[in-house]
Amino acid sequence: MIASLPDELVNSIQQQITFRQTQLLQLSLFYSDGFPSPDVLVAYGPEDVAKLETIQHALTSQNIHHVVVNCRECLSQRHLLSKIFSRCVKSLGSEGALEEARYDRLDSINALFGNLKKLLQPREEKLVVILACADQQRGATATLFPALARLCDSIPCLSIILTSSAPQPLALHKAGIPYLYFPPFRRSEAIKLLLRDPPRLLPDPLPEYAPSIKQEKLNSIYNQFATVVFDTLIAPTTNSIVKYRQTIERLWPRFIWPLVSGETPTGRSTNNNWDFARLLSRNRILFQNEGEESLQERLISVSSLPSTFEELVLHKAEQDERLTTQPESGTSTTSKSPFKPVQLSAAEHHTPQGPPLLKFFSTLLLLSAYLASHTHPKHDIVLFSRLSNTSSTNRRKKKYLARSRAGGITKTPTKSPSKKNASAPDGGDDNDNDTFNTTPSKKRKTSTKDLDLALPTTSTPKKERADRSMRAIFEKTSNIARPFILERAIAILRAIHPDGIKMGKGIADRVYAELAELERLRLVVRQDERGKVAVEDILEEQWKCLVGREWVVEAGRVWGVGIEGWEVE
Amino acid sequence: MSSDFDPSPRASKRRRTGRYGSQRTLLADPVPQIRHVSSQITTEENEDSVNLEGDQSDDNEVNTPSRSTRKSGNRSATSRRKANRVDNVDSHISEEDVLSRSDTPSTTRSLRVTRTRRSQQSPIDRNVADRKSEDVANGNNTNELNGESAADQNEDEHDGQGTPQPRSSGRQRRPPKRLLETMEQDKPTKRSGRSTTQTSREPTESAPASPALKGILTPSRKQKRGVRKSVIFDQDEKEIEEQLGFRDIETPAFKKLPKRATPHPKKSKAVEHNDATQSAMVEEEDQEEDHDDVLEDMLLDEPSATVPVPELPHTETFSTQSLVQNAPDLQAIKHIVLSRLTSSSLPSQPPAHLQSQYTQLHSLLKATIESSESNSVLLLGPHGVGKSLLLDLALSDLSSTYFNNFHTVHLNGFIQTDDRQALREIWRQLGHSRNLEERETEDIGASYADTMASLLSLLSHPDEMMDDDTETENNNRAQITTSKSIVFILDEFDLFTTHPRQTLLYNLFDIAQSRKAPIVVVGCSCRMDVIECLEKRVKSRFSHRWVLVPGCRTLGEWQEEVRRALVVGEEERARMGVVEQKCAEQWNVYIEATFLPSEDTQKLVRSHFYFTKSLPDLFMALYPSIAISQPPFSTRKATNDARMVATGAAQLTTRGPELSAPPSILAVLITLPVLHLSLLISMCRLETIHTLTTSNFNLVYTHYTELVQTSRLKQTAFGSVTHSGTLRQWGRETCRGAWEELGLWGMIVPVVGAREDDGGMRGGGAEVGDTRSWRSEVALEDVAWAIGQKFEDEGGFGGGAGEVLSKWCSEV
Repeated sequence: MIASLPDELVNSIQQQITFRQTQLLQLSLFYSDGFPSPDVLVAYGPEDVAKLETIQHALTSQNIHHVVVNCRECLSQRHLLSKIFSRCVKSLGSEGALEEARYDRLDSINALFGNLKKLLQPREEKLVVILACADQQRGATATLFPALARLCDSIPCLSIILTSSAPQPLALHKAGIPYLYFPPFRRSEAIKLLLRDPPRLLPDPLPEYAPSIKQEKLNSIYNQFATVVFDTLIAPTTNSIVKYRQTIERLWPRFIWPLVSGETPTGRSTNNNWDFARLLSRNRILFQNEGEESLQERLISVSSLPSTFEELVLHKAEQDERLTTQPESGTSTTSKSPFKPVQLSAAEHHTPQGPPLLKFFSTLLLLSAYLASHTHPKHDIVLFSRLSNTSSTNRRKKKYLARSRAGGITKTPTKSPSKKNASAPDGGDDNDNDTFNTTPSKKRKTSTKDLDLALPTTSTPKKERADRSMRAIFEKTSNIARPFILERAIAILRAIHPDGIKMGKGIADRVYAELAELERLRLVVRQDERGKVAVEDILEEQWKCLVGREWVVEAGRVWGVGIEGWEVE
Repeated sequence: MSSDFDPSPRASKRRRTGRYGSQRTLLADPVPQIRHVSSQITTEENEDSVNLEGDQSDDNEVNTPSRSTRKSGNRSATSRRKANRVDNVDSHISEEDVLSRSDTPSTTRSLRVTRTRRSQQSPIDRNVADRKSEDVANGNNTNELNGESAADQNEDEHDGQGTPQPRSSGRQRRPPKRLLETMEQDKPTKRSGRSTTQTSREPTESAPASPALKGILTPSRKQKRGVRKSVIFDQDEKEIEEQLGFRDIETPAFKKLPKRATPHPKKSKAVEHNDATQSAMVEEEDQEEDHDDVLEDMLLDEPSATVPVPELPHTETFSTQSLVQNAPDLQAIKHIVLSRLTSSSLPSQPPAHLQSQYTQLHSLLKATIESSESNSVLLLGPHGVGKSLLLDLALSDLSSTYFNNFHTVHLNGFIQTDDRQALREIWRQLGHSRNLEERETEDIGASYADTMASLLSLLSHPDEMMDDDTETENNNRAQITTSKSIVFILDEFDLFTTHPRQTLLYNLFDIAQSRKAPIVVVGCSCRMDVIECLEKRVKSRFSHRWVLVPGCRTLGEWQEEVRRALVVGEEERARMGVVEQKCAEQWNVYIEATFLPSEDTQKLVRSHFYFTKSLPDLFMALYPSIAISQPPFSTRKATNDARMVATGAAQLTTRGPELSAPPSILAVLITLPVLHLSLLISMCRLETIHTLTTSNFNLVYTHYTELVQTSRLKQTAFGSVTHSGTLRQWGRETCRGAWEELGLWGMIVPVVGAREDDGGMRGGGAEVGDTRSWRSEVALEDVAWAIGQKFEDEGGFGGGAGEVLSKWCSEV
């Protein structure tokens, strides 16, 4: 009963779980010592809205036994069931009795039902089982959660709380379940939350060059900073309070650094002090592209700039060292443009650290796979044939292609080069020729098929032309990778290899091994024809590149190879 | 070599489209219907974290100390019930009518209460317990008895005991004492005061061999040997221990478990930690107080800051309540009402509009129990309409009359997901799990057949089973009156029809139909066409008797139901004991005069009537306001507070719809950030303009950038300086993050294998990242609506962003 709560306890809970008073009140009404609780309660709302914390606080404050099982951590339904039971046993402190009590093996929901009954029957006080993230349970059958919701029917002291962040209702097939909504934090709430619990505002051992900064001033700057970050970066892109905090933590050191490092503010000013407006204009870039970068979560941070206080201190030390080595010019440059060193270092750091992911040959193969997937085969002869490499320049060919795309030229340029049979001089040239001659018609079919899914099949001839043009547009923008056969990839590989592959040196066997490696990394994927059981001839196997252009370009840059010269568009 | 690296995209093929369809129906349908679950549940991999090996032994089966609220005891007499059945069902009663004559039923309620039962219980129980311990000891000797004498003996027990044993719930879980006398023994005239003349043995020796089954289907290679014990047995032991001060059999260990009142140590530690951090936070905030005004100014600049954080009855309310609610009477009254709202206790009588259904069911069950007629019946009606309520009411009524003459077996289609589990559960509930367990550990495959066979034989041949059953009876508690019926309750009956070959249903119906044993099969389902799911051979054995359980038809009925649930009747008041009559009356007056007519409550009641017609849902919505409500009685001071609390309750009540509304996509749509909304708009625009049913990230992103740039261009062209920088064009990576979040939240669903001959879309796993095709869950109008709501909510925060977005929606 809520009324039996002492006031100070209520106050403390309300302060801890900020901005969740409504939910807290309702929860503590539903789960109180004196009164019967509902069997099941569903707390729903987007992620990071303190669902679980609020529930736990409400229950803890009422001294109600509760156990938390996170469904996301459970690999299977059976895992979940056994976890529920083991947590219950543990929370009741009756592990010792397990041996004697002889419980069933937890292989089904029925067994859990029986075991829990055995465990909880002699019990009077409530036990609440919280199943967090119920919507993310792996391998949950359709009967799992309805069954769990019905556990309480015959075990009176048990009740279950489910939390879910899915917008779809959990199919519990039961009436009379209270749903408790946890809305995302409002603007003022989110900002207040961040203000209440700020990150480290200053580097821990304050560097000796740092001027003394008043705490009040720092706080006021931080307050304004948090608000601006929310408005510019967070509010349009995400609801997550966690992401907000992360972004603040990433950006704040760099934002306050001019003040900490004792830099003098530019511009005409009567007093040489940094205030928020000046910091803002000095660090405007933080709220633009670089701020956007900090929103993205990556395993390896791509951002080359120092972002923590430690890195900034180190960076400054390096910079000073450099200045002392070049005493004459250094002073002038820094005074002229304070931006320059940062930009320089950005350029330095731009190459990713660490060893590259792929070997050189694999990278090349990936590039060729990408090109094979994203180039129309009719352009192959222009782009990748030896003829196009050696004779007249690529540029001219491309110009031609551009014009033909625009509709000026209807004749296909494939005739003469293919006859010359110059694309692949060694063993597989016959096949290559076949590919070049036969595939264009085929490929056109499949490529149009690719978008049949997206485009309605219209039968009226009037619309057909419009459809075709639209299809072309979509094909271009939607970037659907087309399947290719191994031969073609090998041919392209030969063409784009910067050093060239010696005549007569077979690479097909090596290519296959490398391709398997790429496949294991899920960069390319093997694609069998639907309907066929297996492809006997590996040469007829279809492959497809799975990664996008940026990824390929990034991978190529490590080794200094690129695809820029080989693309039509 | 080629086969080594096969990632097999087929394996990860998903079936999202199916889910999509079901979601749509769920959203459209406020009262979710049971879907036909066609997939058979398979057992999972062996990934236990706890492997609780061990046989299930029913030694440990202990009845709970009674959940007294559940046992509502005797119901009103049938004559009264008939009187009540006067057709108020279809009559449209105005609200005033309801309210004016609302106090009549409660006063006429008869006062037959369990209290009398309880008062009788203890002196008699002692005798019974004594005798029972003897009988238990006599276990093996009963082979000498013929059926008649055993039956007589049990009759004695029955008479001697006179009143029912307190049970944990209304349900009867007893061993299947099959011992069916022949029909002439069935007469109640047999009841004579013969005492038993059994030689007594040491109680500790009671480990009688289990009876050999003589069913035709029983496999001969294994005979069931072992201790047969029952739930009742254990409880008797417990009583003996309590009353006589000694015990003869070791009580299960886990009875003695220390009950921990304090929360888990880890938890409390965590709380402490939180406290510490919190106090630190508070301190810090104090420090920052001076600077808050700067911030406040910034916050207040924005229109959204004017939207107040929801204020609720805060500490004031709490403290005032704590003054008053020390009154134990109020607590007790609320306990009664709230336990009714959570349906943890039964009402005193069935809802008025279900009276005829109740009578039908009751007479059917009664016929089975009283005169051993087998039967089968289906209760059909939507969730929460009161099927289980009717059943529980009927059973609790019958159990007060024929408290020992029938067993109840509860099965649920969600929990017992295949026939084997269901069979095990039947055995367990009938108290035979030990035998089953031993045999199961030997051979699982044989176990099912054996169990089925023995169950069949138990149920099929009462005459042959006579000896064994009397023996069993004597082991446990020698007490047989007539043939014992079994009530099988199959909740979610439709799910049982999905079990392969419907073996369980076939056998149950077969037994019921061929009058082999008195059983009644009651199936509850919310599928109206569940009969069609039955196989032909099963269907032909079903009695084709079904009871449709309708919901309330008129608002008058509905309000009467609500009133009845909230008002404390005489019976409950007497049962709780502590409540003074005056308080109960005051409570009722408060409910009828203040609470129910209040605007908020009425709004809630009506909206639930028109939208869901689900009483449990309404009860849950009313729960908080009842729990917090404060009727003006007992103290003068309370009257003042009551008003304050009433406002708090009203606030809670107005939030009520939120509480009971299931989540919907549209509700989430409003809370989405601008970027997510823009992407959704682009996607929907593609769908609307180019009739693209599916699109991928590349397409949507391209369209998004086009849209942003066009709107920027327009703004600069018209020179609208005021709207400068309203909408920012976010980079590809950020958009991809938002896109992934949309997928995570179910706003867009991936499309898998939509085409037969697609070269590109093969297998869901093959397409990843930007080229994977998705379909939007929402339409453009939905997004437009959501944008309107969102920016109305936020009072135009974000400048012209809302305007631009809604322009995108409208300019197609």
